[in-house]
Amino acid sequence: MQQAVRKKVTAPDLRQRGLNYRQKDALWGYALIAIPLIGMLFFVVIPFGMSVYSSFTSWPMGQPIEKAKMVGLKNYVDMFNNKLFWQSLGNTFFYMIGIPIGLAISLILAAAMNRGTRSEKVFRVIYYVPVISSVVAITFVFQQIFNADVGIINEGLRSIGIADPPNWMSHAGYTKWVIIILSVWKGLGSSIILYIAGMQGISRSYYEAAQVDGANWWQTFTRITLPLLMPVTFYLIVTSVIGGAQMYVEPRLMFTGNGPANSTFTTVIHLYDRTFVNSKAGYGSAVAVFLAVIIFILTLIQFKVNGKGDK
Amino acid sequence: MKKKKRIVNIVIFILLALGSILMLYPFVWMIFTSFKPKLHVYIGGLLPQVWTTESYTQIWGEIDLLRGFLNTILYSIPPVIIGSLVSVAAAYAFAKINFKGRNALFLILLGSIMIPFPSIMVPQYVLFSGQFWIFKANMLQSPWPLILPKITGNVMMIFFLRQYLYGVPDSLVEAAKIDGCSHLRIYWQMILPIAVPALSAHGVLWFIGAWNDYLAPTMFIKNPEWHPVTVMIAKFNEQYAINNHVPRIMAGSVMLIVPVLIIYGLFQRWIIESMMFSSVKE
Repeated sequence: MQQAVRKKVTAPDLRQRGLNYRQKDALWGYALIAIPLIGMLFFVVIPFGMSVYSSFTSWPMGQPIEKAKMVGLKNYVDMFNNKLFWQSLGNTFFYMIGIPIGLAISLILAAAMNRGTRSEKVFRVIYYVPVISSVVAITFVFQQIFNADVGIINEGLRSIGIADPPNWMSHAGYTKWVIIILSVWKGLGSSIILYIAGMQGISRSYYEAAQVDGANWWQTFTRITLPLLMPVTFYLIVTSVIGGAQMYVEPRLMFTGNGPANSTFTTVIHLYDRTFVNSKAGYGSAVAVFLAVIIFILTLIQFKVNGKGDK
Repeated sequence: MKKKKRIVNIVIFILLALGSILMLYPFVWMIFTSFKPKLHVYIGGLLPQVWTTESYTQIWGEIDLLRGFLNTILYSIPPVIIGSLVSVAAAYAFAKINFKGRNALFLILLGSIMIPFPSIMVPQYVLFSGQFWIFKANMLQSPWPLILPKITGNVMMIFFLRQYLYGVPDSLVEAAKIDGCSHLRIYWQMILPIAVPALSAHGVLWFIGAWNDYLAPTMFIKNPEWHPVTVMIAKFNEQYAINNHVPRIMAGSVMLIVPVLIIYGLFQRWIIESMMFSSVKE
């Protein structure tokens, strides 16, 4: 069909009769998708090309990339030999301890908010409030709440008899936990909603069958609900890991520099500081490409596993 | 049996209510502290013994918050509306118009969201600063770096709406075409009204994300006049962290958070419900 069209309409034809119906349609199609494609070209494809290219150069920030000297794999070698890079990566992954903790809590809360009671809709709304709140404001409040001398957390710990509660904001062993607690607290609402949606997608008949067989609540939950929520859990894990790999604002605003004894800075903070503070943009680009590769692999895994689930 | 269920319901209600206190406590603390005098922050419990609004008047006197709010609105409302209109148009083309390379182009577009923002932010900065190749316009002194990337549409939104529009029968679009409707008219009078309810939750969340954005504005906006509220407040807090004026920092945080809370309060039911709906769809 398309070939027939192509044969019939030759250039002089077009001038005589204008475009035919199908071609006009196609032109409209291209016109309507043009803006997003141009946006992608300018804001994603070209910048990423620049990142990849400059990661092989000694590009100093502030000078044109085109004139930067090629240095081969030097930036990558430097990166893998840099203790700070590994520390930042270690911190970034350490923060991800919060992911299983958050998922477990939100699963329980989702089950508690999906029982058909009248109040649960209100609870869903309340637990979602931290999700939509500005990280900037939240970090400043958490700084105060976790203040070692006068913060409410330590007040509470003292009142239950812990005489010497942790120095949350300045002791390298605790600083990461402040960020983890903040992330879990802030993320609960959205995973609760996704879990509830998943639970409502499970057919009633499974539960009825379980009831007939005399299964108790715990058996029903672990043998039916949990396995059938696997796709949601998997989706949440992958998206949280992808988001976690890009962590920047919380540790940046909560602690100064790299944090006490380099305990809080992340890979993105490392990238940012190397590029803008030390103006080693070539090195920063190597970190940027490394980050993109990790996230690319995670996304592929997500697509693969989800694809399998559909079949 | 029924009695047992009622007891379980009450226990769960109490536990969820206690959890709600944990979820809301930081906000409550923030609000009450912002009305305390500096020296009263940690004495006399949660409620202020002396109420004062001096922290608020001080902030309004010191930084141009009105301008900050106008900037934030400029970065979060018009770009999101225009970007949504562009996204609906693209989704319509991907779902209902036949053209060569349609699926390939869609996959390329979808692939682009795999690239994380930190991996492209430095080159974006270079592009916006006018230091690369043919891009000679220095936009760092203007609001454009926070507007341009949004008005070209949102790939996740296009993805979601494309799925959604597949559910609209082709025959409807065909009938409109036979009646002599142009694509623009079909888009404006038929597709857009169908799509608006589906995209509005995405749109509101996108708006909230733009409102709360911090990293991109600190990088791309070098003229303090164009700073959004997030950056203004963060800078203000840096100043006051030194003399530890906690009520002022909290007053800044309250002003940052309250507008979003109001919008969320107005649309909450509907945001939560469409979140659930769209996640089931995906």
